[in-house]
Amino acid sequence: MQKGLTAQPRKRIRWAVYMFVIPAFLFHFIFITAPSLSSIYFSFFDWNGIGVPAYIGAGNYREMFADSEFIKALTNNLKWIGIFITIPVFLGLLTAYWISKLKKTQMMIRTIYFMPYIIASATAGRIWCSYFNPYFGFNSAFKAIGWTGLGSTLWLGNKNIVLYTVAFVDVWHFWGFIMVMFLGALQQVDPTLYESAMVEGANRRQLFTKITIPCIMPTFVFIVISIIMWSFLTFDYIWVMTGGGPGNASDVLSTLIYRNAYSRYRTGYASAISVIQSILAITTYAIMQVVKKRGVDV
Amino acid sequence: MKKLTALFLTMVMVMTILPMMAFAGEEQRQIVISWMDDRTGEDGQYLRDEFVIKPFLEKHPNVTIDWQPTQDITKQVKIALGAGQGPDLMSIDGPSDALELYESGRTIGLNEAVEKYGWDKVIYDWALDVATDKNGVITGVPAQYEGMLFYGNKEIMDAHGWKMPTTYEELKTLATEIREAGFVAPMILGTSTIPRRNEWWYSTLFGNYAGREATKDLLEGRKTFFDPEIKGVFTTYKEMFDLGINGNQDTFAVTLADGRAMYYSGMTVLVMEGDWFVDNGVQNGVDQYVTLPPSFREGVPQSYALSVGGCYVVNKAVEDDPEKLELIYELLDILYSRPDLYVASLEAGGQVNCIDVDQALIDNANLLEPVKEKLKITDAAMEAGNVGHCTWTFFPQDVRIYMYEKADEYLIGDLSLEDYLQAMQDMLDKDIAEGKVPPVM
Amino acid sequence: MKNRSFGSIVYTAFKWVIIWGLALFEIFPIIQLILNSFRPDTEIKKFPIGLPRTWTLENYPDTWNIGNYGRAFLNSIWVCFWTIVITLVLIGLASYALAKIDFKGRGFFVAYFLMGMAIPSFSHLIPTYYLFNRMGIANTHLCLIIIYTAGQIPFNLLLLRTFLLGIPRELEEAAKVDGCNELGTFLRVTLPLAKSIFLTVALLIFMKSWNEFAVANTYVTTDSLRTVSTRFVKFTTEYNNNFGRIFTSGVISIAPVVIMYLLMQNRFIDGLTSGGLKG
Repeated sequence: MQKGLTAQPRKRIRWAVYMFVIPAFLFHFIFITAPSLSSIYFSFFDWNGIGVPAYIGAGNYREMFADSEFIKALTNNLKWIGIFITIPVFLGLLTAYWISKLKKTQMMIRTIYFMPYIIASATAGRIWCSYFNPYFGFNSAFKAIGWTGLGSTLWLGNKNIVLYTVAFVDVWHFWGFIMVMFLGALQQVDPTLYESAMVEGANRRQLFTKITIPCIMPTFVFIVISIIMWSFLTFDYIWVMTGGGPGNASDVLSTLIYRNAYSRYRTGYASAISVIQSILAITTYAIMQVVKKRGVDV
Repeated sequence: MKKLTALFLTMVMVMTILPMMAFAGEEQRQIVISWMDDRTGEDGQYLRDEFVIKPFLEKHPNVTIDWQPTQDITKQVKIALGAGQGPDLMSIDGPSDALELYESGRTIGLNEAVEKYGWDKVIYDWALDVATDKNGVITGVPAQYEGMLFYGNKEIMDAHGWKMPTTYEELKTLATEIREAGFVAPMILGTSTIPRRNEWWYSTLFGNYAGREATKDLLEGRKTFFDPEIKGVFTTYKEMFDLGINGNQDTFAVTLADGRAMYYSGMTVLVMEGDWFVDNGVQNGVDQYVTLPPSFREGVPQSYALSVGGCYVVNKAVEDDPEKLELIYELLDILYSRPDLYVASLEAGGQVNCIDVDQALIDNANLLEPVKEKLKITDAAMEAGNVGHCTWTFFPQDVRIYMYEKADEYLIGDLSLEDYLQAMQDMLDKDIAEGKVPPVM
Repeated sequence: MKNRSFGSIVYTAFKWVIIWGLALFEIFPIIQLILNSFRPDTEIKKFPIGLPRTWTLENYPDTWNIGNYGRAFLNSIWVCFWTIVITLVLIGLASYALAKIDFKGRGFFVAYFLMGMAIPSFSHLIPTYYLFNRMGIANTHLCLIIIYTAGQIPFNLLLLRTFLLGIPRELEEAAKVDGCNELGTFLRVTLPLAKSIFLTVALLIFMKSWNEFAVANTYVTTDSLRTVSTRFVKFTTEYNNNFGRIFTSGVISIAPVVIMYLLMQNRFIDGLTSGGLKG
C-alpha cells in the first residue's frame, strides 16, 4: 500500500507547493494557535479572568499536581481513552464494512446511525438522564422484568459507575461519526482489487484481512490518534449529564477547567490545566509517532 | 462537472444577495445601549419589553437598545469583558459577582446614581448593603430577591391528613409516614448536573438550625465552623441524607427537571424550592401548600433564607460617555421609580424586586391567589426579622462554592466532617482578614 | 453464493441482528425526542419520558415563531455555507500537497495540524474573541465563519489527506505527462476522483458548524444574528424551562441535516460504486 507518496519520491524544492499548504496553516495559526499561546502565559498568574493578573511563577502547576481533583480528572480521561479507542472503533469498522455492501437500505441505516451525532448534547443528555433516573426509565423497566439488581442501580448516582454511564451515552452519540469516516475510507478501496482477488479464489475473510484492512489502514490509524486527542478534551456529555458529579467522580480535565474558569473565578489555574491538557495530548501523539516508526508504517 | 460548477456559482450569488436583503433597511443609529440580560425566555423578554424598554423608548426615541438575552450570564459576562469592552449594562447573578467585577476594575461604582435618583429610599437596606464593598462603594443595584420555602402537594397531603412540618421532628415523622404510604421518597433534591442545589439546603439550615445570630457570628469571625451551632448544620444535613428524607443517594442520579417531574406527578410529596416555585406549581396545575422551612433546633424560629437574586452593573467604559451613562441610569430608574409598572410586571408573572412599594398597591394588584399567599408569608417573616442568609449572597465565594461542590463527597463519606469544616474555616479566616466577607444583615 | 453453508447463514443472521439492533439503540432516544415535541409542556414536566397522553401540534408553530427560526435558518445557512466553501478550498489544496507531493517541511505541517487538534477551545475562546474585537468584527457572522473554518481545518484536512493517500499516484502522474501543473492536476484529476470524499468531508463540516453552540452563543450576542443551534435558549430561563418547545427546537434544528443527508444519498452511493478509480 505504498502507492501515494513513496512511489516516486522527488525531493525538489518547488515553492509553488507551499502555496497549497500555507493558507490553511496561516488561517489556523492566526485564529487558533496564536491566541491559545496566551493561556501558557496566563498559567503563571493568579488571575480571575478580568482583573489584573498577579505573577505567581509555577504556583498553579505546583498546586495542580497536589490537587486530588486534578489527579481524579486525569485518571478519568485515561479511562475515557481506553473506552473510546476500543468500542466505537470496533463498532464503527464492523458496521461500516457490513453496510458498505448494502444497496437499498444503506442510506437509511447510515442516517439512523449518524443521527445521534447531529442532536445537541443538551437535548439528548436530558432524555438520557431521564432514562437513567432511579424511579422511571430503564430502572423501572428492569424492575418490571424482575432484574432487581439492575433495577436498583444508580447509574448516575453511584460514583463507581457514573463515568461508564456517561461514556455509554457518549459512545451512543459518537460511533456513528466513526462509521461514516470508515465508510469514506472503504469507498476508496479500488474495486478491481477485490475482483482480481476473487478470481484467484480468495474467501471473504481473506478479502477483508488482505485487501480491506491494508487499504483503510491510514484512516484507521488517523482515527485512533484523533480519538486519543479528543478524549483528552472531552466535555459535552459529561457536563450536560453530571457536571462532573457526584462529588467529582465523573470529572475530566475539561470540566475542571470549566468550573475553575467560570464559576470559581480562577482563570489562571484553569489555563494551567489547559496547558497540561494540550501537552498530554501532544506527548501521546509523539509517543505514537515513535512507535509507528518502529512498527506499523503508514 | 459543468452542472456542478453552475450550481455552485448560483449558490454563491444567492448567498451574497441574501444577507444584503436581510440587513437592508437598518437606520442610522444615534446612541446604542447594549444590555446583556439574564432573562432568556419569552416571558422574560415580554416583561423587559413591556415594563422597561418600551416606557424608556417613549421618552428617548433616539436611543436604540441592543438587548442581549444571554444564558449562563456569569460566564458570558466574564468572557465578553475579558475579550474587550463588553456590554454597557449587565444584569448579573448577584452582589457577589458585582463585587468581583468592580474589584477587577470592569464596572463603576453607582453611589452617585443611587443618591441622585433616590434608589436608596426604595431598595431594602440589607440588599443595598450586600452590594456595597468595604469602602462604601455600591457595586451593583440589587434586582429581585428570593428565598427558600417548603412546598407540599395539597391534594396528596389532604388525602392522607398530613400537615406541613414546622419542626425537624415533625419532618422526620412525616417522612416516615410518606415512605410507609408507598411514595418513593418524601422529597427529592436532585443534585445531578447541579451540585449547587446543595446550597439551598445549607442556606435553610443556616437560618433554621444555626440561626441568624450564629451565622452572623460565623461570618464576622466570632464563631467558627466547629462551634456546635454551625457544625450542627452539617451533621443535620448528613443525618437527613442518611434518613433518606431527601431521597438518599438517589438524589445524585436525579436531575433538577426530573426531581420536579416526580413532585408534579405525585411520586414525591414535598419539595424545597425558592420563591419562583409558586409559579411553577400554578403552571403545572399542582395545588400546593407553601410554608417557611421547618425549625431544625429548639429556640430557632422558622425563617426565610433571603438572597439577592440579581444585580445591575454598568460597564467601566461607559464612564467616558456621560450622556450615555445618564441614559442608562434613566433606564434603570424605571425599575425603581415606577411602582405602577412594577406592580403591573408582578401581575404579568414577574419576580419580586428588592424594593419597598406601597402595600395598598400590592394588595389591590390582580395577583394569583398562591402568589398573594406566598407574599403574605414572606412579608411576615421579613417584618418579624425571621430571615436567614442564603449562602450565595452572604458567604464569601470560595467558602460557598467549596461548601456545595464538596457536599456530595461529604454525604457519601469520602470527605470527613473534620476536613470539610477545616477547609472552609481556613478559607473563611483568610477572607475575613482580606475583608472579602459581604456585610451581613 | 448458491450453496450457502450453515455457518454463512448464521453469520448473515448475526449480521442483520447487530445492524438492526444498533439502529434501534441509536434511534430509541430520538423517537422519544420526536414524541416529546408532540406533547404539551406540562405533560413532559410531569412525565419526562413515555408516550404522549395528549397529542398536540402547538409546539411547532410556537417554537418556530417565538424562536424566530425563519431568521435563524438564514443566519445558519449563511454561516455554514461560507464555512464549508472556505474550509474546503483551504484543506483541499493543503491535503493534496500533504498527500501527493514530497516537499521539505511536509512532516512539520502534518505534525502541526495533528497538534492543532489538541488545543482545547477554552484556551482560545477569549483571546480569539479579543482579536475579533480588535478587528472590529465581533458580534458578526464573519467572526463565526472565521472561527469555524479555523477550528475545522486540522481534523478535516488530515482526514482528507488519509483519503487522498488511497488514490493511486499513477493517475496524477499521467496528467502531469500531459502537461498539467500541480494545480491543474489537482483540479482535473484528483478532485473529480475524490468527489464523494469531498462530499463526505463537506457534510462533516456542515454538521459541526450547524450544531456548534458554545462559540455561537458567546461570539454573537445580538438576538437577530443568532444561529439555529442557540435558539433553544429562548425556552430556558433560570426558573422554568419550556420542555415542549425545547424538544421541538431539537427536532427543528436537526431536520434540515437529516433531509440533506437523505437528499444527497445518491451522490454517496455514486462514490461507492463508480468512483472512477478504474480510470
